[in-house]
Amino acid sequence: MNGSILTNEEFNEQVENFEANGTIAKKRKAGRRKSNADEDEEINSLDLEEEEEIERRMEREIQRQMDEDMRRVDTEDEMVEESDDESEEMNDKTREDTVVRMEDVEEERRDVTEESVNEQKKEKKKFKLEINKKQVGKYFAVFWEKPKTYYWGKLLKVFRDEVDGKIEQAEFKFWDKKSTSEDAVYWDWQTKEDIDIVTVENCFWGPSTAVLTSVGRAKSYFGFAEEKEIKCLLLRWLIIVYDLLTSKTKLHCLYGILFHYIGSDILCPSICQLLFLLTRKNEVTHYRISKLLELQKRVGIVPHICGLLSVYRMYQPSLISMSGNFKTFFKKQDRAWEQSILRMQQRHGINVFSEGINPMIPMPKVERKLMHQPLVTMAHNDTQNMQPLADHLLGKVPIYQITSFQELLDHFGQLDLDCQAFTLLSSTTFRHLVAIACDRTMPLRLSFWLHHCLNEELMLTGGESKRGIELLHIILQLSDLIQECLPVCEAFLFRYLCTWNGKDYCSYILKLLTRIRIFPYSVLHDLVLSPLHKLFVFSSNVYLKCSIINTMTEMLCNYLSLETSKHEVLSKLSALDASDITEQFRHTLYPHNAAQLDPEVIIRKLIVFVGELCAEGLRLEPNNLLLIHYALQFHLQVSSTFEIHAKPIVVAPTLSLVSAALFTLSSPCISVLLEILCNHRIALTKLKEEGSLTLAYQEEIDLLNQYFVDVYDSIWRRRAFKSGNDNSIFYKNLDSGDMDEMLSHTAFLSRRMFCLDRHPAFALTTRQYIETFDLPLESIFNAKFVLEENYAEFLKSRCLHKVLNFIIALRSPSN
Amino acid sequence: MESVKKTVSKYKCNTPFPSTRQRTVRREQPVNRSIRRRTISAKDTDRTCMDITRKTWQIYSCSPLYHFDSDKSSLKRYSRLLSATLTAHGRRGMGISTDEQETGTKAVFTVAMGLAVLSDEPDAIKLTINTNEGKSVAEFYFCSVEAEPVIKDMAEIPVKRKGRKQRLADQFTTLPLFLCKGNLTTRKHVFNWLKTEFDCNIRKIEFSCLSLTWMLAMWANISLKQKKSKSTKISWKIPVPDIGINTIETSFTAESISKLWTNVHPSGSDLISVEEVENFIGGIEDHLTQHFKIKFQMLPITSLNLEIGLFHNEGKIKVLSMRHVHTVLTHLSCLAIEQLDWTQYSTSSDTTPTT
Repeated sequence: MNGSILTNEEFNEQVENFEANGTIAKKRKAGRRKSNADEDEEINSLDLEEEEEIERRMEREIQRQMDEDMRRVDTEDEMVEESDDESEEMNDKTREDTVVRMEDVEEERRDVTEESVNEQKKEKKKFKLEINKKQVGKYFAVFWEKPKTYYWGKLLKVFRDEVDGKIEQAEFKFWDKKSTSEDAVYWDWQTKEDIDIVTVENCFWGPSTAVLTSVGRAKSYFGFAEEKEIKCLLLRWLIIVYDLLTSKTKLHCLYGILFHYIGSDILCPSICQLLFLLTRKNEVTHYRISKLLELQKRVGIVPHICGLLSVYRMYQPSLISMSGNFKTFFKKQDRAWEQSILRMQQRHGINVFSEGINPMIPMPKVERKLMHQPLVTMAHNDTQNMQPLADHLLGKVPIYQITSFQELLDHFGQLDLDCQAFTLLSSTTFRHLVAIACDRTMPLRLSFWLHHCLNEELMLTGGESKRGIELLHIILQLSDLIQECLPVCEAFLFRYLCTWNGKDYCSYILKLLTRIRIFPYSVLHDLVLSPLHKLFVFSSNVYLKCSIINTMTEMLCNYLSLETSKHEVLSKLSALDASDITEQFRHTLYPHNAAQLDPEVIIRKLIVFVGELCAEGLRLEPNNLLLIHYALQFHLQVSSTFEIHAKPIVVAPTLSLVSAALFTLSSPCISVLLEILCNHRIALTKLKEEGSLTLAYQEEIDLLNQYFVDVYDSIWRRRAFKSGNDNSIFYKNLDSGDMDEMLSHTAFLSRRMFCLDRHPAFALTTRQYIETFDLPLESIFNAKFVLEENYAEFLKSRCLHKVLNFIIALRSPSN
Repeated sequence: MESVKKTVSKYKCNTPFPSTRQRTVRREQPVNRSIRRRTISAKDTDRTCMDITRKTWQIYSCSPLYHFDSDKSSLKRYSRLLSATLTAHGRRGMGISTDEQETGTKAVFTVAMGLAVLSDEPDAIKLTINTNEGKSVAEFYFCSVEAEPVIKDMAEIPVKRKGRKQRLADQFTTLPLFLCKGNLTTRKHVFNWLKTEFDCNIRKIEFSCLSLTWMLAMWANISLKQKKSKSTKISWKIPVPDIGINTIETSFTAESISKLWTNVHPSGSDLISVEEVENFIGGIEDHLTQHFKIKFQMLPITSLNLEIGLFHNEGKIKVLSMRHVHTVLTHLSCLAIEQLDWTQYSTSSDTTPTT
């Protein structure tokens, strides 16, 4: 290793250097000089290292060729067996280690590095393997001839030759599992006592230390490898378990050391990947960037270095710039490890990795993506290069430094949201920031972006697109969050509706419409209602008609519950002091001049419009239950206005709707209709009590009275078709003479035709009731059961009790 | 005039800009009259205008640049950053440190004096991209010429930046009109860089038929007087494919054009209305239809070749007369603003809102 020839003091000094480099930017220059000196040393050591490496490889190559014949015999069977054993064993061993404690890992790492220093020194001195008494307790690789197999063994004793005192034999405790591969990575062992004495010549590798056992405890797969490979394996293992670590703070302390090893060819890919995962903004320094760039110049454009560079670029765009097109930065290796970790997690019902372990990290696609993570700060606004003091004095806190909710609360006023506004829409957390941030430029920048995107994605391209859906989805989420429609979206909607075919993005557009602010009715009518009306009448199926009415219901609801109150507050504020616009931000993200509108008038006009729309729809789709249902739901909303929102708005449903609902075959429709009438009655009574019932309501009252009379006559008083009553609206114009004659022989039945017990919609209910309570058949004729308590309960169980409420209300003496 | 109205309604539905009822024609270079006008030195103006004339520009609109500073040191910094970015794009996967003054693509931001007219307008910025050998790859002008502010409603909201209290509008630099020329990939990279650095959006401006008709009406009868007047050429596209003919080019003498215009616009004032424009193009179309028996009302206009410049419907322009650079750029700035401003959609209803 590059650093491994350093003494302990040197090493510690270097670590300090690196750490200082990472944390204190001011010392950067000094640090840089120092590290340059280090670097020279490293380059020298690197050459030596490489020589060593080559020698060793040659040795191995020779050995491999020698053993080839042997291997052919038994490789395949063995391998299969082994791999099975391995995984099981590993599962057992790693079980305790699912929650990895960082302390352990870190200690191990320190061990590894320090001991590697010592060992390397030894190896430097004598290349040939020599065993002496001091090495008792360490591990050696041993091979047997015939058949050629390899073992790891722990040195227990040494035996000296009696003549010259040379050590010729040694006692080993073996890990009793042989391997046919000379690659240490694939060796394995079992904890079974097997002690034997072997000649020294058979030991070919060692000594290895207890470090290996501790590594082995966590991951037995490692086996006993030489230093560099251990480091490499350890790094690879860290990458694998990176997401499992509960705290990464201690790993961050090692950043400097890890970065130090980046010059090594073997370690570089793993280091890059680990640093890729680990890097935070404050760890990207001038020195590291220049070091990395030098390395890139030396080895050329390789994906892993590009990967790390791209992270550096992301954090410090003011210092480094790069581009490129890699499919992946890091190759996926160690699949077997991942698999076993996954298997073990499954066995224990833990699932930490949601999408597999370390999914291949793809190169970010910038161009066609709608938005990306808001980590990119603007290069020219960088605090590190630009007036760091001024920003510091202002107490600006960049968003990437926020790690907890408490921190967010503490620094709320000083949050620095200098990234592109729209990137903040990418996650729910950031959307909340947008909604409440103090940065007033944010809504404005967002508007420009939305205006641009909506035009590009929706206006200029026909049909639906994925990006369009994504965009609308995000807008909807944002407007749900801030409970208002962004003015830019309103403007877009107004324009889009004119050419909308009623199909593209239908659900999104209609949902957005429910959020729009209160506008003067003429604007609302021209830009929203009339395009919708056109669609409703000319080119839509019944489902779109229903959706439109449903949208209107929700819009009305939004107007009543949110917009009117907001409007009141805003107009009060603007009347008080026009200049104090900041106050308005408490109530809306987009303050606007609350024009002198009367929300109640607008809402009343809106209701009338939708009432007419429903009537038109019923004419186009006669007796469509779905449409009747949605129309009734709208009017239900209208009728409960007074009750829920205390707005004195009473608008009776249109005649066509009432007649359609009253004579339908669906009992729920009738129930809702009666509920609507009931609600209106309550509202009017209360208004009367308050004394605020003016002449303006007279028309509605007259119409409602007529409905009451007819509905009551039909459903309860057995007087359907009774003409001549001036208050009737359905039966008023029936010619009484003809009618009587026509109905003479079945008069009794006909007049009762729409009674509660015989109404076509209720016939089935009646029958079920009679069957359930096993009533005598005569009771059907006298229909006295409708007064019983049981019947009320029965209707209630079917959610039809509103019918009875209506009748009770009309029968009560107060009427 | 029945047919004219139909024609115009055809134009209207394709218009990317909200319907504007009236526009003012600016004939010459601006004179320092009103208080809002700044004093411009003739030398600067001439230099910049000279640079702009006789080049084909593609035009774009750009939303206000966030935290853009046009002081010298900032421009230098931007130049360095953009240079590094462009160099990095040239060498795929290679990291380029922004510090090293390396060989590679060079981007230079400079202030182009003389284009801005109003006192509250930012100065135009010129950006040139050169290769290592000093060859020009691309040229950009970011300008605002007599443009109405885009940020209106919220402009007065106070915000803090660098310890000072500012208006919200001061955080943005509105340079709505981009003139671009040169390499397309470079253009793409430059735009991407601008988008990330200044949180802006850039959109191509394309001229609809109505837009071109406006230009025709406003500028066709401007003559340069020095030499013999050039004829006005209009290209019409044939929207039916594979009939052996794509475009029809028509040419009118300056006299007939000005005669028609004075008939349509008898008052001779600088303020012209959309009805006059409609009548004007209607007259031309009727005339052509009568002679060639082709329904010119149904053909879209693709390009105009006027005395002061060339205008193509894909947003390409070329100003031929130096004296009319401001005339053209003012109008284009206005179009760019229209493309950016959404507030007028909600108020552009035909019936005036009841207050």
